[in-house]
Amino acid sequence: MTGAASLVGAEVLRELLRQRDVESICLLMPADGAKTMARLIGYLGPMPESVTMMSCDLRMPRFGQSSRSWDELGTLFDLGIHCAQREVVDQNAERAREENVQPVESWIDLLDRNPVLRLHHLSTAFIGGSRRGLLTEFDLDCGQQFHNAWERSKFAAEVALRQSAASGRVTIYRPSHTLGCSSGESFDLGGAFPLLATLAAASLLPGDGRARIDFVPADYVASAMVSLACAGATGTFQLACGWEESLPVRTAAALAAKAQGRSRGPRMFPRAVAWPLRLGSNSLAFTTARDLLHQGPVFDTFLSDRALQPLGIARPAPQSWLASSVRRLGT
Amino acid sequence: MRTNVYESIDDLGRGRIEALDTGLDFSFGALRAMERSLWGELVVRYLTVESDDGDLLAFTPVYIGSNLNFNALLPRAIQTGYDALVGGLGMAMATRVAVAGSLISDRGWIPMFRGLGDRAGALRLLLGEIDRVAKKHKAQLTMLKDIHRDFPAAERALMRAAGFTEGFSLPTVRVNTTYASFEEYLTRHLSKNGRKHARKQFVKAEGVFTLRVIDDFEEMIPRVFPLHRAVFLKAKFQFEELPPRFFVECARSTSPKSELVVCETTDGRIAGSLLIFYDDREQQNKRIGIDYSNAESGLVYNLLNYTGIQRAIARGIGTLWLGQSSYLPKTRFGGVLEDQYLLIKAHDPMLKPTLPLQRWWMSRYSAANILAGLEKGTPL
Repeated sequence: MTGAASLVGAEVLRELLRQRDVESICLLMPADGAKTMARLIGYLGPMPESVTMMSCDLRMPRFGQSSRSWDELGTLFDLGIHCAQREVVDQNAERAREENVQPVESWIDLLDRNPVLRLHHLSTAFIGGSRRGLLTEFDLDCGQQFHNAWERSKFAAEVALRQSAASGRVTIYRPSHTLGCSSGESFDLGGAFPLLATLAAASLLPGDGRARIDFVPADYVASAMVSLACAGATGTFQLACGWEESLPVRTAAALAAKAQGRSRGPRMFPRAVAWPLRLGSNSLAFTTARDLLHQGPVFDTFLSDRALQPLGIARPAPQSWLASSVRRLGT
Repeated sequence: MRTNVYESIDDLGRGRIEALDTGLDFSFGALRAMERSLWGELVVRYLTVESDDGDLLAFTPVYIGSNLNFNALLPRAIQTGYDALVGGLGMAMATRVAVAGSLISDRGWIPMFRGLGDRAGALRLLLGEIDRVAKKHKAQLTMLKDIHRDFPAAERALMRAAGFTEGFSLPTVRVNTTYASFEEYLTRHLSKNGRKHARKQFVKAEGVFTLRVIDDFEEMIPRVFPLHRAVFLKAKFQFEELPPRFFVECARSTSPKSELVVCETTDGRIAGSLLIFYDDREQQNKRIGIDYSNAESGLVYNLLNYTGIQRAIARGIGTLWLGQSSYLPKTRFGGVLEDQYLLIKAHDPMLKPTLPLQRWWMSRYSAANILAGLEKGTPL
């Protein structure tokens, strides 16, 4: 498993530890993994002996391992869970490729070496980019454009996986904006927390109050991923609220602002006004808001609903948990 | 007579609708499949005219929202400009449209009770109710979708008198299938070239493709939906964007009946699929799905359509509707283009001046114009 020390990854690890049929877990960690492991233990509690750690550099071919170690690694396990990613929504295409596409190419190599290996890949529903229409789990290239290098690189990673000979052994998960657990806990403030923080702090933002914003909690994403992985599911699953349950941007902004003790959310103006004025062009938070607080794709969840219902995994409505994530942001 | 508004087809009731002789387009199952597949802010209302005793005399569904591709028939530059406007300035700029008629119809009209004496009165009432509902939902445009040429001209005149501007919509394609056998259809309905073409398709398919028909096809949907989606994404005119749930609802429909024709390669891959609606009198090839990565996708398209024709003939169904696209191959199958009309009313003063231009632009969609284009080698 990669990316255990991330917002979703930590919850995935928690779920894996609960599974009786998981014999052992090998966490692929960066060189400073000991510190990260200590943080994980602080969050999840002591790790059983069945959890081991291997240092690696996901940005390098073969995860930076020697050919021999790589050959051995390929036969060590039969389930791969790839949660590591660079989530920064900037335009740094080179770093996004290094951290979001290169690891997937290494995974494809592992899949080629080990015919029983199955990969579960954490992608994002925002591979839909700027498309403003329906995005189904069967869609990938719909002629969409991308707001940033993160979306583009996650799309490229999915394309690589789907075009690989091992495509049939790959499961892709596409969560929408991910926040902390529905209980309010979260390992870190990755995922959509920066967007939520922007909503909470700003007084003026480029955005469309009428557009819908789609949030899901990390523990829902994790339990869906682990349950489907253990059930041997393949395909693509969108883990999102869909139109009905997603919130108008204006409502989400008001909620976030309230958590910061403010009486009202930010005022919003159209992004077409932001571009000519070059307002906040150097601020990542500002450009993120400009790109994400307007109507994007509407996520269809046909396959995930079909697969998760028999497993008893229900998607919590944002109204029931969003406030706790906002409180987490406040602390 | 009085009007009424229902929020669900289930509230209106299957029995009441079937008494109106709705045909496939306005059948209970087709409308319910559509209702359960709506996404985004799109809503549907069913507007009825009823007798004082509550008998249903006329009805039409009206779909209202800003995620309808209302400008699909307009020039590409206008579509791109509109998208940029909404993208840049937000949803406040999105045009709210009310569309009266079935969003998935091949042939539109307003279903009315056959024995209704005062058709004009009922239509006036219904048009008034459409206006009221459109305004209630803040629609900026109302469209009466795809009124078929067989719908009485006098009643279209009533629509124009009610403030609608009439233009051409895409014609529908009808194939006469009143033949005892597929062989008789080939010999009596098709030209020599058409016959040769049809036979050649089946010869080419031997040992390469197999076709089978599935009645209960719900489990197949994850396998065939990507092919239908590919056809939608490639289409020149992208109208209603249907989610997978639509196909599930179609599979469950018993009125009309539905089936799926699947074309498979020898290794079991699905190269194409055709969703069919049918009743005792007519059949519609409702949606086609094609795997464009297959080098023989053209052959797959033809095979699916010929199989659809075979199904209609085998059932003794006299009329087959092939849909409102790909006119060149459909005329090869012996299809006849039939005019349909789009009637538009603008409630927003900014949009009113555009209606004459829209009417002019849409004159290119007349059946005569499209046929002329086919003869010149410039299909639509």
